[in-house]
Amino acid sequence: MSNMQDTLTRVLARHAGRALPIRSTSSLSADPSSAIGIATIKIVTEEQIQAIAFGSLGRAPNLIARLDPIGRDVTDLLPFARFLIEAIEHALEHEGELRIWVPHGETMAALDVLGHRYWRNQNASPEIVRMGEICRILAHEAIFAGQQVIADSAQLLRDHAITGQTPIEDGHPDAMLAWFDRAVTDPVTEARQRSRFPASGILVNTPDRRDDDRIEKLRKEAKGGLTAGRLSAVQGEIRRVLSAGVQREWDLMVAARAAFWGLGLPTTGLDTLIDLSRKRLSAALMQGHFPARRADRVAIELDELDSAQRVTEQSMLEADGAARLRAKRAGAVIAGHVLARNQPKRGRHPCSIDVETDQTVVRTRRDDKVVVVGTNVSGVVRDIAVAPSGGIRVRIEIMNGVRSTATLDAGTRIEIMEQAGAYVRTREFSQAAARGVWMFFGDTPPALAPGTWRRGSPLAIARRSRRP
Amino acid sequence: MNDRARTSQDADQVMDEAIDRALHGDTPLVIVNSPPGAGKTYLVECAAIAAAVGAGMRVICLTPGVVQAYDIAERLLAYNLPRLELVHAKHRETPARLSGRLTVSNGWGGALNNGPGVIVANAHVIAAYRNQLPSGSFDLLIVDEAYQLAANNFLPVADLAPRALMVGDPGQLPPVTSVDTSNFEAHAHPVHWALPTYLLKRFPRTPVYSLPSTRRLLPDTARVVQKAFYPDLSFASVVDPASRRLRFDVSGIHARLDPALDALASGASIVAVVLPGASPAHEETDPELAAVMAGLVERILVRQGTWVGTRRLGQGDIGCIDPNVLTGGAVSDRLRRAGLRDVRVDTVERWQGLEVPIAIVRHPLSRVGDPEPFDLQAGRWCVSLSRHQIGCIIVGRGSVDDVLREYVHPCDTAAAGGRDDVWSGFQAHCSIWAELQLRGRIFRMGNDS
Repeated sequence: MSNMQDTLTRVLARHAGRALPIRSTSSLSADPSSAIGIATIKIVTEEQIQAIAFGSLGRAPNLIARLDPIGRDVTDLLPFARFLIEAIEHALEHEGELRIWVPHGETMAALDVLGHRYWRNQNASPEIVRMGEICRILAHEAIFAGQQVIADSAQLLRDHAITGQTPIEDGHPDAMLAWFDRAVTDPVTEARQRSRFPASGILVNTPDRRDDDRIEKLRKEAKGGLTAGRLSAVQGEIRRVLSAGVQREWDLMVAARAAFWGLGLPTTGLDTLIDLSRKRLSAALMQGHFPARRADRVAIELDELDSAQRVTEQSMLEADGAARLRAKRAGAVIAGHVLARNQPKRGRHPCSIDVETDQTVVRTRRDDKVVVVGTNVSGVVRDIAVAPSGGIRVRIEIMNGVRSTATLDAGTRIEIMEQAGAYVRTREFSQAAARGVWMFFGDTPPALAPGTWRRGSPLAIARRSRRP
Repeated sequence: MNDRARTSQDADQVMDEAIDRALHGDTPLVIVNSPPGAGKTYLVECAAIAAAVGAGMRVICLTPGVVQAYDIAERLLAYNLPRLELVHAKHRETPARLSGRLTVSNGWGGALNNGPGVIVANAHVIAAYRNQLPSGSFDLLIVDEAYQLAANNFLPVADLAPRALMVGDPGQLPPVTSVDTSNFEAHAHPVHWALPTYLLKRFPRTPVYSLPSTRRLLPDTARVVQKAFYPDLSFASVVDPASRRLRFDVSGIHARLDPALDALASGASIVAVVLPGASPAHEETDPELAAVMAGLVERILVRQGTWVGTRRLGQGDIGCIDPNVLTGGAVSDRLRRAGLRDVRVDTVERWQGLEVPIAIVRHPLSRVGDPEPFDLQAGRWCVSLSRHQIGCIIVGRGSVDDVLREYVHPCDTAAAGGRDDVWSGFQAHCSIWAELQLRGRIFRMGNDS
């Protein structure tokens, strides 16, 4: 969406007093019955999680409030570790089916750090180590475009709807939610009120509510040789503040999830993305997490990321008319009518069609592979020319779907977009690694025996070889 | 012998040495850095011919894209070669300019590569057939436009030959990637980097040759471009300004546009035309700016611009370079309505590797809001300002001054340990604009005109 479209839609949303959908379909598939949620509170300066809420959606969460989050004893994390392991085992039994809702991206960042801390920690229990590995796998999965495992509720709302406030104000999930709540009559004022308190996985610490400072003070007090009664009271207060903080994060996530599904966007056309996500997750959970370190592994990961990006874009364009309309303006989709079908034998190869569009911008180039949206017809662009009408005429050689006369007949209105090439070159890169190609796997270049047979200046040789 | 002739001779000597070392030296890799228009493709041609004809080698010339492969193949048709073959993907059709003139294979064919000769292909297609090509299938591997090829795309084909020669322009656009690579920037194997950059990081003692001259850019432009974009690559123009003179047979009467054109005719090879104010905030394009770009094309043709001693300029001699597809579309639209359908309007990416007598370039900072990394990228601006043989007219908004003055560089444009291309791009923008101001090359259009 261009800045101008974004601004205009925000003006409309402001006028309407509510968020407006900007997509006609959902980028997230329907929740499986096993969907779970995780919310966290971290210590800002230490990147340590001090409270976690987790559990199945639709029920009250389990809460862990950590009295000493920077201590070495992590047995307090065991309930979370066991819950996560159980969820993963369930996913493995169901072909990688897993959905984890989080309030926002900061939760995933916190889980990633938690993973880094424990996935190779030899002093931690096997359950904590496995928890660390799972966290790393989940954080890694979250970077793939179109992934269907991690549902970042705040990001989903931003991707599918627009509010009547500025984009930077949308960074606050609670403020954004004011635009989705039908009970709110003045979302501008309500959003400003809500944005006074952070909604980013940390404790509130405003002049009128110093939760974070209070926890720090209580922790210091708890270390200072208190009577058993006082210690119990202090610890109880720490638990109460932390639990309230993480419960607020959980509630935010639940509200954002409800707002997202409340948009009522269809969840069709996501089968490929679901399949890819499940395969990636299952493979990682079974084989373990191995960060790419060698050149071939980095290359494969880049291909996987690129492939996911392409498949996601194609899926979105195929399924979402609003996204297609925007892509058309940028020339990434061509909308036009079939001017002529060139097919000597009906229903047989060879077959080509001439498509004319009134668009002045098209990004397609000669020999690009394209598909006709919503059909099984695909082909290759063979010519692009300015039409006498002033629009653009595109000739497409049909490779698949030559029998689809309803699509190919003259006069039919069609939309064309580039076919996503989503091939991951695993075999090619792995074989190069096996061959130990020196440029990527060697420490020093090999020394060659210098050639001795020369016939003078290379430029002179080239000049002599030039045709008259 | 004057300086120009000496520099030209130096360039030939560098080429000879680089090719000789790549073909016969004891190092398996040679890199040649080249400024715009320095004769990269000529060097590739000569290396391929010297290897195949002079040394009886089996040579493969790889390019990042298929269009570049077609260009190389066409250039090699000018030589007597024992064998010249082109390999491209199965779904491609041979361009008319090559059809019937050389052996073309859709995908790898077993009959290819028999005896000394040259195969031209893009890296992707050869990688797809790598299982049919054992290591050492060739004697020399040449990579043209090597800085446009990401190292990962070269990985599967890197050992096709024991010797490799890589030629490219380090100042232009880096390889295109659609994914966020910031997490890989500080990695030990940043294989998304341009191939020579990656290899030089791994093997800093790799022999690198630098071509010392440009045969495309006039001295006037070369000085500005070298200073802004190539601080580590010294080069000078070997073009005789007398051979690149522009003349208008019809005098200028258009107070807004003609002064800039007259400046080109008087020998200023790079000028700017600036409209007052900023681009309209509520439109996707800037119609006024598009009108000025199209208007400049019209004025060049109406005033019968002539490349002195060569030809009168036609539509094909003028190119419009716009960083954005949508705003470029507005320029195309204007030109079409003026009946000028043969003027090429394209994005920077598509102009890369091409040249044109007159380039009309939209200034990327003529936009609404703060500049994005895309607008500031040095490579994109460098390509825009180095396509012209005679003259370049930058068209921008007065707001460019404000953007450059008030820009605050964010601290998150580069990963820790990574290079900050956005900052170097900003510095290049400042350098170019300051140079143009200093030389009185900025023609500001009044509000009332």
